[in-house]
Amino acid sequence: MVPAQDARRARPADPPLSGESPPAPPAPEGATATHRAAVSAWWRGHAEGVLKWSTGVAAVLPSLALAAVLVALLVEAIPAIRGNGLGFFTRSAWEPGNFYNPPVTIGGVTRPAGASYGAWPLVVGTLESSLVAIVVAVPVAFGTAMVVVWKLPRRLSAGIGFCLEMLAGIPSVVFGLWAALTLGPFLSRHVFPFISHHTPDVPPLSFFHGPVGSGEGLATSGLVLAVMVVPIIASTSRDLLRQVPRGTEEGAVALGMTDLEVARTVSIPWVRAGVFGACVLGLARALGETMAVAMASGVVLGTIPHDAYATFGTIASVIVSQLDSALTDGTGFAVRTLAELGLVLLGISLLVNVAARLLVRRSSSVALPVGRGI
Amino acid sequence: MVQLLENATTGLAGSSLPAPEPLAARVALAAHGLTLSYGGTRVLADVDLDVPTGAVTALVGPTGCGKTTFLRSLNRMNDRVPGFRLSGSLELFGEDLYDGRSDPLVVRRRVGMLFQRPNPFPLSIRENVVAGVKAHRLARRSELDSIAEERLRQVGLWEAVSDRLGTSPFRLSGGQQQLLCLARALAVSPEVLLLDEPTSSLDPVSTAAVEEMLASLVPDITVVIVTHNLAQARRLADHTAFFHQGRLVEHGPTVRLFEDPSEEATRQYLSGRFG
Repeated sequence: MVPAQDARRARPADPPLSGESPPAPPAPEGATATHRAAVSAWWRGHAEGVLKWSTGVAAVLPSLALAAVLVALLVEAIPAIRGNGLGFFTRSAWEPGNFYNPPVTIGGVTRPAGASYGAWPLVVGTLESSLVAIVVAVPVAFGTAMVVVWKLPRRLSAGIGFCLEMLAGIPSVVFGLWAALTLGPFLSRHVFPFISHHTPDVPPLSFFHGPVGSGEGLATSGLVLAVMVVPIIASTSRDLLRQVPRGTEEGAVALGMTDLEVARTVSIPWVRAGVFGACVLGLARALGETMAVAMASGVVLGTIPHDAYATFGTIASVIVSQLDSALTDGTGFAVRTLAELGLVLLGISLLVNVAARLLVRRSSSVALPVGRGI
Repeated sequence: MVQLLENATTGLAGSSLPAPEPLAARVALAAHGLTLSYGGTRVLADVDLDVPTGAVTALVGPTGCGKTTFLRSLNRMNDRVPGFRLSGSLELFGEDLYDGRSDPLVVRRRVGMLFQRPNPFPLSIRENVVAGVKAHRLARRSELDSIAEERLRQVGLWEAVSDRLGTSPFRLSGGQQQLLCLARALAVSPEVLLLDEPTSSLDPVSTAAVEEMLASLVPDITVVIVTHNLAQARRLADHTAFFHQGRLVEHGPTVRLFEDPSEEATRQYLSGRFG
C-alpha cells in the first residue's frame, strides 16, 4: 500500500491541497514527484504527533539537566560531606594536608594527613559581598529606571537603555580586570581612606573603620558586583515602570498629587513585586559571580573579613581558584570538598530564592490586574 | 431660579435687599476667549462659556471637536502635556486658574476628575478612597476609616465592599471600580467634578448606577460631563454645550438646545445626522 493512501485514509476530511499551497514545480522525473507527494502526505498525517513528542522532549530537557547536575554534584560531594561533617559549616580552616605523607582514612573516607576544611568564612564572604552589591545596586538601579522613564527625553533615555544593555553584556572577566587594575587601586587611594577616617570606631560602623589595604577586598568586590547587578535591576524596573497604565497615573495626578506622591501611590506599588523579583535575580547573580570576585577579592582562605576593606574569599571564587591545586590531591578529597562547596552555594541560592518568593507573597496583598512581572 | 435672578439683578443695582448672591458666585467656571493648542496646532479657539454652579453641564460634540481638551484644561491636566498652550482666561469661582499664582495641585483638589476607564490605584479598596485625603493631609490618621466608610456609602458601594476593604480593587466589576474612583474623587471634597465619558466603558446596569450617583451630587457639587451619549446628556444635564471643529457652537439649557437649537450644525448633530 502506498503511504499517501494510508495518510489520506487516516485524515479523510483533509481539504484538497491545491487551494492552500502554490503548485509544485514540475518534477524532472515522475518517480521523484510521487515520492515527494508521499513524504508530504506522510508529514501531514504525522505532524501533530511529531510536534507533540519534540515539544515534550524540549519541555523535559531543562528539568533533566537540572537533575543531572544535582546528582553529579551530590555523588561527587558525598564523601566530602561524610569526611568534613557538620563542622564544615563552622570551621574556618582550609588545610589541604600533606600530600607526601601516607593518606589517612577516617570514617571510610581517605584524605591526606592533616587535611581539614571549613566553609564558614566563604559563606560569610559570599553573603557579605552580595549584600554590599545589592545595597548599593538597588537604589542606583531603581533611581536610574525612574529618571529614564519619567524625567528624560525619549532619545536620551533610549541611549541610557542601550548603555545598560552594553553593561549587562560585558564579560565578567573584563569587570574583574577593571576592578583589580583600576577600581580597586583608585578606591584604596582616594575613597576608602576618607571613609575609614571619618567613620567612628563604634560597632556596627567600625566595620568601615580600618586599614584600607591595596584595594583588593570586600568593598571593591561588592562594588564591582553592584556594577554588574545594576543593569539587571535597572532594565527590568524601567520596563515595568513603562507598563504602569497612564490612566492610573493620571488618576493620581487629577487628585492633586505631586510627582512623588503619584510614584508612591501608583507607580511603585504597581511595579513592586516585579522589581523585587529583579532584585532577587540580581542577588543570585552576585552570589554566584565567580571571575570578577576571584580577581577583586584577593581570595583569602581561612579568615573571615573583619572590616570592609579586608581581603576575603567567596565560595565561587575559591572553587575556581583552588581547583588546580585540588586536582593534585591524590586522594581526591580536595576536589570532593570543592564539590561540597558548590552544593552549599546551590543551597544558598535556592534558600534566597524561596525566601524572596515568600516575602513577595506576603508583602503584596493587592492583586494587580496584570501578571506579577517576574 | 427666576426669583434668584431678580434678586441678583436688584442686588447689583444697589438696592437695600438682604445680601444677595453676587452674580459671579453662581458661575463655577468661566472661560473667556479661551484658545487651546498643542505644539502649535490649535485644538479649540475662542471659547466663551460660563458653567453654572450646582448644576450638571454636558459637553457634547463629534470626536476630535476639542471637548475633552477643554475639560482637561479645567483642572490643569493639560499642564503635563508637552507643547500645550493656552490663551484667554479661565476662572474658577472668580480666580484665574492660569495666572501663575494658582497652584495646580490645589486646583486639582478643588476640581476633581473621573475618567473614561475606571483607574483604581494598586492599593487596597480603603486606601484607594483615602489616597487623596492622605496626600493633601485633609484629615487625621484616625479619621481615615470613617471617611472611607462615608464616601463608600455615598456612592452606594459600602454594602458590597465593607467586608473586604483591605483587598484589591481590581476584583470589583467595572461599574464598582468606577464608583470606587468616584468615592476617591469625592473624598477630597471637590467643588467641581469633571467627568470624561465616565460610563462609556460600562454596561447599561452599571451606567445607570453611576448616573444615579452623579445626579445625586448636584447641587452640592458642580458637574461637567463630556459624553458621546446624547440620551445621557439629556437625562443628566441641566445645561449643554455643543462643540464642533474646535469651536463652541452653541450652549444653553439642555431642553432648549435639544428642542430648539439655533444653529444648523447643532440641530444636525443632536438629531443624529453626524457624529
